Amino acid sequence: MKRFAVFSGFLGSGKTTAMMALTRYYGEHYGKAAMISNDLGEGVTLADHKLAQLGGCRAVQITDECICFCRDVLTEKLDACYDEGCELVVSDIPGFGVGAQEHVYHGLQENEPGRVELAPFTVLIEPRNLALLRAGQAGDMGCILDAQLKEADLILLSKCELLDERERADALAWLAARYPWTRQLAVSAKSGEGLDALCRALREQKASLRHPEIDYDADELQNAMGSLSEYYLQYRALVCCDDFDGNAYLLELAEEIRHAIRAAGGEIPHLKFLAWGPEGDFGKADILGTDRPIELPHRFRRPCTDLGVLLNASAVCPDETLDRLMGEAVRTVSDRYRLELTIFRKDHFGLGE
Amino acid sequence: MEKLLRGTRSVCPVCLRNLPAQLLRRSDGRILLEKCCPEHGSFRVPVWQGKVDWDSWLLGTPPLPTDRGLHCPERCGLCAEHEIGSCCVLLEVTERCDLHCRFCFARGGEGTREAGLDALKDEIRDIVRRCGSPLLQLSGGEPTLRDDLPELVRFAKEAGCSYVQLNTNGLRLAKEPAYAEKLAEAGLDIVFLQFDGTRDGIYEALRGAPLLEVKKEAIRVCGELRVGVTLVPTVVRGVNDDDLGKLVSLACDLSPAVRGIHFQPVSFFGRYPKAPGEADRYTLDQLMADVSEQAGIPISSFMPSRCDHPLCGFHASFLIDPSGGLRPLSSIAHASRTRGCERDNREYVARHWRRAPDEPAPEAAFSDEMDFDTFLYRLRHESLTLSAMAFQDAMNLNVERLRRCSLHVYDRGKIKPFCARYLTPFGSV
Repeated sequence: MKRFAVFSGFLGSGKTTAMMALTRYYGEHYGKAAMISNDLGEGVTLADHKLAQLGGCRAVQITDECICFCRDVLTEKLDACYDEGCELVVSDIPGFGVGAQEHVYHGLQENEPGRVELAPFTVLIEPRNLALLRAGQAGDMGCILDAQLKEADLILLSKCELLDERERADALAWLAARYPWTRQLAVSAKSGEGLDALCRALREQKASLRHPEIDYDADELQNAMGSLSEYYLQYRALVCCDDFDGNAYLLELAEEIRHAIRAAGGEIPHLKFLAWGPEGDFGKADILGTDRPIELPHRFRRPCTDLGVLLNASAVCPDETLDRLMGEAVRTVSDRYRLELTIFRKDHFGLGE
Repeated sequence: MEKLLRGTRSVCPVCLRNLPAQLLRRSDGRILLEKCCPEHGSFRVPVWQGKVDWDSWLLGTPPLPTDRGLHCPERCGLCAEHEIGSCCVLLEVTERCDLHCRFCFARGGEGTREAGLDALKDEIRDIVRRCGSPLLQLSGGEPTLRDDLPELVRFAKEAGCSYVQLNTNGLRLAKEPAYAEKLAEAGLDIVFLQFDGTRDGIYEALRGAPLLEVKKEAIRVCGELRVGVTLVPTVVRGVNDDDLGKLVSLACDLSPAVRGIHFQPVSFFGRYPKAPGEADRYTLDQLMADVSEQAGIPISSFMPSRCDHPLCGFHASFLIDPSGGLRPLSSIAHASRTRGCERDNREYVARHWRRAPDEPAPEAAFSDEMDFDTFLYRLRHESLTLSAMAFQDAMNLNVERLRRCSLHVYDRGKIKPFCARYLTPFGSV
C-alpha cells in the first residue's frame, strides 16, 4: 500500500502536531508512516521538520516551493518514503493551502496515475476558529477558512480536548450540515483521541477528487491570502557565561514579538520558535494570535548553554516591517540573556508579491 | 596638522616615571601617543595607522579621567582603581628554557629559578582565592621542562581554576607524546603554542632554529589527545608580516586540532628593551589590514574586545569551508557597546579554543549542501578564531588601556596586569 494524504488547514490549526501524532500512532498499530513538512523558505530547515525529528518521527521536508507546484520533488520524496517501507505519507501545505485539492490531488491523478493511492483530502480546524466562523466573526480569515473546508473530504476538529462532549457534538453537527460531502472526526494529538479512527479513514477511504465550488480568483480571497508575510530565521544562541533558562528565553522572545507586531498594527496567525541543544533537549513556543496567550507546548528539561533556534512566522504585516521587528526583538531579548548570536540563514517575503 | 583626540597617562620609557600623555591624530589618519619627561625629553610613537576607523573601533570607550591613573603602574598590584578582574592569570613555573628567542617577554632561559611544586600549589591556591576561578596560564621560561607539570595541571583544576592553558614552544609535546598524554589526562584544556609562521626561515630568525616540522608534530599529538591548540605568532615587521595569510591557511588545514590563531604584534620589552624605529612598530590596525588582505577575509569581521580595552586586541570567528575558505561569523557592525566582564572573556576563550566534546556528525556534514544541523556541528567543530593581543611597552604604554586589562600575572604575591609586570625601561632612547 502506498497511500498519500494532504493535511490542509489554517495556520495554527495543529497540522504538524496531528501529523506527528498520526505517524507515531500509525507506526505503533498499523505500519510504517512518514510525514512531509512543506514550506517556502529558501534553503531553510523547517521548524516543523526539526520538531518531527526531535519527536522521533520519520520526517522529510520540502522547502523553497509549495507541493502544488513541484510535483517532481513531491513524487521523489514520496518514492523515498515508500522505498523505506512506509505505507502512509502525509504532507502539510504552505500558507493557507487553498487550491491544494486541485493542484496536488488532481495533478497527481492526471499526471501520475496509479503511482500513489490518494487518501481523503484532510482539513483541520481548531475550536476557536470554528467558533469565529460559526459566529460570522472571522473577518478576512472567514473566507479562507470556508474555502479550505470546501476542499475537504475529511474534516478534523483538532484540539478537541478543549471542548466538552456537548460542544464537540455541536461543532461536528454544524460541520456536517455546512459541508455535507465530508466526513468529520474529532481528534486530539494531546490525548490521542480520534487517532485510530483517523488512521482507519486514511487507510480505507479514498479521495473524492471533487472539484470544489470555489472562486479562487475572488478579490476577497485573494486579498486575504495576499496580506500574509512569511519569515524564517535560523541562528545559534550561545550563552556568554554559565547557563540560562531556555523556556523563559522562548517566552520572552515570543512576548517581545507579539508586543511589537501588535504595536505595528499587525497580526500573527502563527509563529513558532523551536530551539534545541546539542544533547537533544528542546523547547517550543507558539503564538496563535496577538490576543491569545503564548503557548509553550514543549519545555526544556534542563538549563541551556548552546541552542540552535528556528523561527518560522506567518504574519499579517508588511514584509520589510516584519523583518525589522523580528530582528530587533531577537537581538533585544538575546542581549538580555547575554547570548552570542550567529545567524545561519534568514528569508522573508510577502505572499502577495 | 594634528588634532588632540584625548588625554591619557603613560610612562617615560627611560625612567618609567608616570607622565601625562596625549593621543594625536595626524592629517594622514595616523594616531600618535606623545609624552614628555622633564628629565629625558619628549617621545612620540605611532599607535594606529588609520587602516581601521579609530572612532568606530573604540565603541564609545570614555577617556581616562584626569584624576585617575596617576600611579600606574609603579605601585601596581591590582588596586581599587583597576576596572576589571582576572580573566586569565599567568603563572611562571620556571625560568628555564630550551630556546633562546630573540623576543621574549619573560627573558626565558636567562635564569634557572624554579619554585618547588608545593610552593606553586600555594600560589595557585592564592590565585583562586583572590581571582575566583580564572583561566590559569602556565608559562615560563618553558613550562614543559618541568616533569611535574601534569601534577600541577591536575592540582589547578581541582583547586578551582576554570581552565588550564599551557604556554609552550611545543618541543617536548612533539618529542614525548607520552608526556603530552599525561597533561591531557590531568585536564589540560588549551595549548597556547608558539607558532610564528609557515617557513623555517621565520623560526631561524625569531627562535634560532628551524622548528616548523616539530611544531606541526606537536599539533598532531595534541589533536590526537583532543587538546585544543591555539597558534601564537609573534608578528615582526620584515620577518613574518608577509606570512599571515599562509598561516591562516595552514591553521585551516590543521583544524580541528588547531582552534585559532592569537597574533601578538611584537612589543619591545623583556629581552628586547630597545627603542624601535617608527617603521618597526606594528600596530593593531595594521595587523588587521594585513591579515584581511593576505587571508582574503573582510576587515569588518574583526571586533574589539568587550572586556579588555578595544585597543588591546581583536577577535573574529569563521567557519572553515570544506574548500578551505573562511566564512565570517562575526562583524563589527554587530559589536555590542555593552562592556563585558572577565568571565565573559574567559568563557569566550574557552568556547573557541578548547575542543568541543565529540558528537556524531550529521549526515549532510559530508556533502556540499549545508543545512542548519550541519552548520551547528561545524560551528562547534570546524570553526577558527582569529584574535590578537597588542602588548604595550615603555614607549606606547597607555594607562587607559592598562586599567582595563584582564590578563594578569601572579608575581610574588601580587596580581599585576601583564604589560605592567613585564614593563622594561629602555636604557636609552
